[in-house]
Amino acid sequence: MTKQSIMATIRQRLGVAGDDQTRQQTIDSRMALHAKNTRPAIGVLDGAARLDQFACSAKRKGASVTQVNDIAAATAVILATLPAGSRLCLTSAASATGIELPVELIEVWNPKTSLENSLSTCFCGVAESGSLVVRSDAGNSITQNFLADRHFVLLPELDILDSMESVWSRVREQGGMPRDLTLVSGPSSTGDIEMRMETGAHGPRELHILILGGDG
Amino acid sequence: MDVTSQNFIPLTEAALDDDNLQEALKQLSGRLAAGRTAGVAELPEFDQLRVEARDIKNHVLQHLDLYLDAFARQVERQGGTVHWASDEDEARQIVLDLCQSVNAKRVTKSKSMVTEEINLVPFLESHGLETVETDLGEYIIQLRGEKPSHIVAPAVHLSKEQVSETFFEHHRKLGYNEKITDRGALVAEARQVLRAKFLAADVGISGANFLVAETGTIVLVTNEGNAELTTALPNTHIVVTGIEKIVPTLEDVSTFVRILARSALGADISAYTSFITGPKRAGDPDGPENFHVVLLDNGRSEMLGGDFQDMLRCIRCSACLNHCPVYLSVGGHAYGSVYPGPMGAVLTPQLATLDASKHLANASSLCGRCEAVCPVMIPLPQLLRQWRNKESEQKLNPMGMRWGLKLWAWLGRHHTVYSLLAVAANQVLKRWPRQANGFIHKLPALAGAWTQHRNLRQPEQGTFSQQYRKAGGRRV
Repeated sequence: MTKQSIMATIRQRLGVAGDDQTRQQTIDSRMALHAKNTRPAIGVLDGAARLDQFACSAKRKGASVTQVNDIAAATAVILATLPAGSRLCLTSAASATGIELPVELIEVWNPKTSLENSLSTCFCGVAESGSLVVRSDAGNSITQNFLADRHFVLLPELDILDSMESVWSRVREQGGMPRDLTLVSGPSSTGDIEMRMETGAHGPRELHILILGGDG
Repeated sequence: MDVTSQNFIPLTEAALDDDNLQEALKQLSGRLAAGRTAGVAELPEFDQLRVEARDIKNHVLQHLDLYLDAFARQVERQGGTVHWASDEDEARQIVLDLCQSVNAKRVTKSKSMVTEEINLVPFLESHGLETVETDLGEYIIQLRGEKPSHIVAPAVHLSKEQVSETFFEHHRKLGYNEKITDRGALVAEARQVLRAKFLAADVGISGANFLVAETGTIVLVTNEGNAELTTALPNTHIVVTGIEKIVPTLEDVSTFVRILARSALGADISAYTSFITGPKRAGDPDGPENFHVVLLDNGRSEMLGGDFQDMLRCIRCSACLNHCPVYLSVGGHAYGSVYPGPMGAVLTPQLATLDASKHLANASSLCGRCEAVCPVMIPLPQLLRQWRNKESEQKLNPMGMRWGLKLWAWLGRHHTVYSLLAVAANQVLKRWPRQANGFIHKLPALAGAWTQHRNLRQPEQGTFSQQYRKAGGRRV
């Protein structure tokens, strides 16, 4: 009822008919084409320039970025960063990378509680904005990306894409949008008290990105 | 929409005398406007993106019925439900019914101007639902029983000392017995208090910055991560948003992501940009099982095809507020509407009534900074003028003002009479008793409206036309 009346007002104000096939074709083809709008120069970089753009942009937002050769080196960085006595919770996708951590450091997480440290993988990175793309799926609890105080993310260098547009192509190739796909660009922050930025509003206070080298 | 814009004039006077507010507004202008300038300077393609963003929105508005249909079909294909609300009463009732249908007791909500527009939180609370704002700024003003004073930074009018008082008063019962004034410690305390709310919530309510028709996706932009916890933890997620938020594709929304945070505060992107599509999927370890989208009209469809259609492009970035000399002098509360500043002065008469909000369009020098910084190129000064025209057409302004303007318009078209009067005024003012430094401090009758707030420089020579002729200028 309400829908019909809203639609009727829209069509009457625009002076169009609901069954106008030309208009329908216009929007259908636009949605099917996925035409890209202007991408800034920093969104079409390749190779070393792309990696550099990613690292600079992520660091500017307050993330730490470390390039490592393999998963063993990544493990060493994580162990060096974890405060003494602190434990780490892995997403199933992170466990599946073959990472080996001392068993006493692993936390089994109850989803209805908060989380101190979390290690997850990501779908890809976006060089233009230094963002990590995390997503919900069977191996990835999306809330683990947002609930932890300290968040470690493994990102293979080959998965750093140039721009959001390339993320959308990859999403379409892999079966479409998940329930939640989030671009994480730096640690959580707020400027709500006197316009001064403070980190760790509701999400992670620290974001540590581990870039796994070329063939890692 | 409920407004108190009738009181704009006394409220502005109080705002100008409020030292706390004046300091806050100085910070706002220094940080956000300056941040935007720097952020835009870093992106040479910014103006091209603005043109494209404007064109995308215009294209959507011309096909709004079809894009809404496409969006709704996609949401339902993913297992979500779309609800249509023609006004705020309908929208509030839909949300309440949805909460009651899952026996909800506790609700968390992320920041959304549409839910402010429909005054949703007090309504849910009056029906026994504990409803907590989770954006830090919104949380602070909820505790204080205030409305947002800015569309992006709702608590910008408050000092950290005021926040400290508020937290001390409300968190004492939770065991926080110390009064803290350090900003970082205040943020940490709110994080702890709200974390418990996130984990216990039955329903999460969010708005949407954009709706993607192609995929039925809603896009949420935050720096805090509160929208992510609001939408991922409870078993039910309800989105309340306006019908004008549609963009066609993921490629199109990318253009808007690039200009939104830059226009607001100069950052290239916010900390979290979430694309949410439907409820929890089979195999997902977390996420809500119920996903609802409430699409609100509330006067928006009436704006299509009319004088104010351009306003439907607005993406609520706040650049026009942050650059408006009037907003930066009086703050948001004086406007008496949840939408303040230039965008609010255009939108409020449409969502409430012109009679109740007629002062707002007049509270502008039409300097044009708002239009210059608008990422979707809304001609805000022109739209403000259109409200002034309507005010006059509907005889809502004082009769003296209407006749005065008519007389002025007549004089403007009759050069000889105008010149004679200008010469006469010039002669009178030249002979007026001078007070100090060549300024006149007080004039009688109608002219007193000028000297009530400022001094008038006493003329030393003839009128402009007389001087122009004397200097050898020709009539063109």
